[in-house]
Amino acid sequence: MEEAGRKYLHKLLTLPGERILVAERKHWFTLVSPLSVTFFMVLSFCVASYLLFTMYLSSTVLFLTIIVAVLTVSMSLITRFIVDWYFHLYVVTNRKILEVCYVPIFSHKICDVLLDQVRCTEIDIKIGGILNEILDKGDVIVTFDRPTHEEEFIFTNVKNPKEIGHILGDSFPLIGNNPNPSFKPASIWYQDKFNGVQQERAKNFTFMEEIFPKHSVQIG
Amino acid sequence: MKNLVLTSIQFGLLLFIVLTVAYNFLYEKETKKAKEELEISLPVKIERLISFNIAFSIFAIIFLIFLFLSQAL
Repeated sequence: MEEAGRKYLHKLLTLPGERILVAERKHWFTLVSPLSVTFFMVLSFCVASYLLFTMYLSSTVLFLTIIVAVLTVSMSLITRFIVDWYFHLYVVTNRKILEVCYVPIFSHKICDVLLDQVRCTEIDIKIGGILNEILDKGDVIVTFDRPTHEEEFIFTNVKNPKEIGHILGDSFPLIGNNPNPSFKPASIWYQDKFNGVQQERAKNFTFMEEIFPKHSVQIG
Repeated sequence: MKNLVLTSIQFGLLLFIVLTVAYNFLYEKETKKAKEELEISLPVKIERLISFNIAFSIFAIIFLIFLFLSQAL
């Protein structure tokens, strides 16, 4: 996993004895689509403004102004896409799971799941499509059983999802020594009537081996 | 009339670029803040990209002012 993340993410470790297990960004390929859209938008703007201002309005100055404006804005957009990608992190520690999404100026979101308050019931790895298989990019879906409802935490478009899934799968049983008493196995306080009757019937059954211990039983 | 419209478009674009420069400066400041808050070091390439972005937008303003002045004279 990402060594750089482990070195610098100490501020996110707020609980006693907490250490980072996984720190991962989205796959770099997720940047390709917004960057290519920006590139084609710039190209189409340049062509359209060339046709409009040079051919029809005969204003080279205005054409140059628009080109410079479009390039300035597109540079800002490209920078924003890259910085947003860089500040979007998934962090798994031995006490919690975090999603840090910091978009400078615009938004700031940190979602965390405290692992001693939930029980992990399922870890799914989803890699869809040829390109994702080639690039080893996919989702890791962790399902939690909360006291009130079931909830999913999705690591979207991460690099090497299988390895992350395996690390999580190996780590959660160790984490799962839940100090929270609400997750300790409860004693049975209710038994439905049907189940009770079945158990009574089960007591009446006697296996053939118990009656004839030295004889083997053949079926069919 | 046509010249007036073209000149107003030019000034509008110049104002737009000035706003973009202001945004870029603010963005750089906020990025540094995010870096300190999360204790994540930005790679040199991204820092250079942000600096280049600011430098390019300042160059754009100077270039456009120069262009307008040369047109006016």
